[in-house]
Amino acid sequence: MKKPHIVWILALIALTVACSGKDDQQAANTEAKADRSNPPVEKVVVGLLAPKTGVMGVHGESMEMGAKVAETVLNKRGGINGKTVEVVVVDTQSDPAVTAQRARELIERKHVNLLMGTGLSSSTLAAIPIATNANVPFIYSMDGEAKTCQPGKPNEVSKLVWGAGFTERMIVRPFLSFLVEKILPKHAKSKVYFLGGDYVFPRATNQYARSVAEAMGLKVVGEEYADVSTTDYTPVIRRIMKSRADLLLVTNPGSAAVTFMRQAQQLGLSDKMIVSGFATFAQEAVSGMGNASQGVYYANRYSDLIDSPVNAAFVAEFRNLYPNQPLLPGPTVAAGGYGALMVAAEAFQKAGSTDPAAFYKAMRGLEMDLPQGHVIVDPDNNIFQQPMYLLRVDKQKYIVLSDLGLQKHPGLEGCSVR
Amino acid sequence: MDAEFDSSFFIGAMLDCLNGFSSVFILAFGLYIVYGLFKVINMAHGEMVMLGAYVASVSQESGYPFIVAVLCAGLSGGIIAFAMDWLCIRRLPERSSMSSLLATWGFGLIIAQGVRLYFGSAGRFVNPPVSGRIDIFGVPLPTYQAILFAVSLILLLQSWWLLGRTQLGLRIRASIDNPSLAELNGINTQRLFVLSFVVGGAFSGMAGALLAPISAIDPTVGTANSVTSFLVVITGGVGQIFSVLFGSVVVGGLRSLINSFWGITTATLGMLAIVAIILVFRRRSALLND
Repeated sequence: MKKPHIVWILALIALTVACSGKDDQQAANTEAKADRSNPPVEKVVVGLLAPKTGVMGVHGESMEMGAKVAETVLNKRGGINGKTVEVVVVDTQSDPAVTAQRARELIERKHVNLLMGTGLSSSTLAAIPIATNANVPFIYSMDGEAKTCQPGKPNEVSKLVWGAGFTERMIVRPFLSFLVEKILPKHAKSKVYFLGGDYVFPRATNQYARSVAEAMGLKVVGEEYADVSTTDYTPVIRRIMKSRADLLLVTNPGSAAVTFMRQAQQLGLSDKMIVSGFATFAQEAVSGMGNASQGVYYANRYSDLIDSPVNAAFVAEFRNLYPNQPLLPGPTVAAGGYGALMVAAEAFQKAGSTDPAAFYKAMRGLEMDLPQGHVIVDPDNNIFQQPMYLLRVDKQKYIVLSDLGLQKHPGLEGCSVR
Repeated sequence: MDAEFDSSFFIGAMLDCLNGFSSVFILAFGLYIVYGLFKVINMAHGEMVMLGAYVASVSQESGYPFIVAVLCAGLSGGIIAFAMDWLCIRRLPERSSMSSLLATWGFGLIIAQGVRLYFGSAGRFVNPPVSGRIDIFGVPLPTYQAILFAVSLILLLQSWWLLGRTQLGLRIRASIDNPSLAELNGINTQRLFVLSFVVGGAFSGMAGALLAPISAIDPTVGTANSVTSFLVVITGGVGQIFSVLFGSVVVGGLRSLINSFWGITTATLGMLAIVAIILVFRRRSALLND
């Protein structure tokens, strides 16, 4: 074995990871050059930081589809303040450094009026300072801990960052209450085991969930974090089974949870305890888990089965735009991306311009009916108040058990922006 | 901790070690044939494994039994390998060169993007042919994991027999050791290479199908497959079939064993540290021999 071969292999693997985003970068460069040479077209440009490859790859395409549905709907209505809406999608590769680079490119070359997207908390945290320094509004559309405080000022609300998904403080308490009251055995003190991906959001969620669980009288028998690239979970599953927990809470979005659930099914984990979690059993992941997800209880902000005219319209437009999409009529991340852009469009319309200060004023307290239900942009923390649904997975589809109503994040608790 | 707990924990750790070994052995076996024997760096290996998993998923969805799905996946890997050789590798001035590395890398990108275009980025799954668990001294072992272990043993033994005990193996070894001399003795080295390359590709495809029931299937998993497989082959060294056995024990078996005792993060770090030490010692001994 010659040494240079190893170096080449490593270099090419790194390049493979980087290459998928290259097209987006080149497209952005080409279009930027075209923008400079052609007369300006009246547009509202939205930059979407979508994790189309990497560990959050299963969510990136959904996010893009949701944003594209919103773009189509808005342009059919005549755009925003008469301007055409253009969504420019770039692949962040689920990597914070790439996310920061793409955010910079979208701001400097595409002159975006709004940034949206990202998957992992670390990616969102990488994009926030760039958007803030450039005075560009940014909405992160997936679930995650609060990130809407000002850098260095944890008690002040940012005027440029909004959270469109659930935070752990919105979802943990009502969901755990449901599990304790309705699902877990009553005869003894129930035991709970936490498993998470080894990064910010799962750790923040579990830290909070642990305190809530203990306050509810549950006994925590384990807490463990796994690198998201882990492919062999068998020793972890044995540890969980050995703990004799009644409830396993998994917080590990993306394909890592799929691998875990496939292997857990082999060892019969679900026969021994209730398996559930936060931000883990999204529709894209459930479709990859197959029957390993059967019977899982889950709290989510969207199901395609929500019976409302707004959701019906979204589903119809989604079907129209993506007729061959196997996840029809669109998973949570697609609905979330769609909803975030529709709210932003409403705010731009209300503001009468794309000025960030006017946008902030228009966003404060804005209320709107979205596919997931009635949503309020919380003026106290910029996080979308929205309904939460208790779901059960049956044949890889969500069954809505109950609507737990509008959930609100308390102040700026748990904000991870430093 | 009582005695019963200790023994069951130890047995579980050993079983997980075997699981870890067999998974990476099956994953890396196709790469071993192509790279370990002929030194052609197949950068598309991970994507061929991923494609095999997709083919198995579609086959199973169409109602075919698991064994047919595995064979279809193998066929897909074989066809891709043949196409790679016919379109690129045989046209290169030297197949064990950087140009083959770049050519196969390009094929890998085409496979990954093609799968994404056709299937989308959402995950798929393959159900194992058997469910249930075997009880080994009170410790459960998934039946399918036991099957994977048996498959890896069969692969190991048949390769050892084929390469070391048959005329075909003798010809392959002769073609690798001294291609010119082998040609002079009437061995068609090009044909043997194509055969080995296609067989290696078929094993890559079959690995995708065999590992699909215990892993995620989406268009992004190819790179991770390649990384693990190259780690195995580089750790084990090239040449002997037992080198891939050694690489799989370190990368898969030891990692699972450390995981059982000290957790996932320590296991990953520990495995990489052991691999680094092995590579340093091998380099030193090679320099000393020179």
